[in-house]
Amino acid sequence: MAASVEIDERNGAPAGTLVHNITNSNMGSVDDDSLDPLSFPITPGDSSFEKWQQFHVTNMGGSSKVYNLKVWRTTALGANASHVTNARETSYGGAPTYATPTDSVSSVATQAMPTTEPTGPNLGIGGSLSGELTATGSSDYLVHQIQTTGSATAGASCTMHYQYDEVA
Amino acid sequence: MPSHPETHLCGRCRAEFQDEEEYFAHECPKTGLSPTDPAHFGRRARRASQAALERGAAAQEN
Repeated sequence: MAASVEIDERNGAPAGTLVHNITNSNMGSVDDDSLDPLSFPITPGDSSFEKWQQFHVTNMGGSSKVYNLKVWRTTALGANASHVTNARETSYGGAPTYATPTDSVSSVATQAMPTTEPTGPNLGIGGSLSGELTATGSSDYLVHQIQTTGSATAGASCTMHYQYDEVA
Repeated sequence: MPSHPETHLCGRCRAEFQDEEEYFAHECPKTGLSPTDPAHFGRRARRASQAALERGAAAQEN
């Protein structure tokens, strides 16, 4: 058996609500998991609410460690939009402390989301890219946001990739 | 100190829990399983998990 891993998302004022095993990562103008982007679109020129998400190992399944976390997006965004994140392979800023997600320009998510698989880990565990989970627990927060200009066009449907390695 | 108590929510059945242990212990009505059971995450996750195990086994043989 392999480890069981879910993606969780925290919303609201700290400590907030931790939604386990989210079904999608739709970005929009409300701080909710699995939001309906038709009901909560991003107005051109505005930003989406930040997403604060974590890898969460719910069962080690006989594995000894989960590590090497990688996050990236495939499929292009709509025109005049950018996707930013705290995930990065160099100059990683450590584990961010949860704060109420904002739809102002994020001060945490400041680098472009990779659009191909990163070479090495770009999300940490315990504040370090070389961190490991050896029991049930969670990664650092992945913070990401869509930012647009006034010329942005209607949104795109993209795929987020959340990848990890485990040692049996 | 958090200004509000933490709440846990199952993303599948939307049930609320006071802590992670309660979440782990619940039998999700959407899947009939607890979140510690790999099958709770659905067929796609099971296929990905199986494929990963097969890759690992192949890597050990080589």
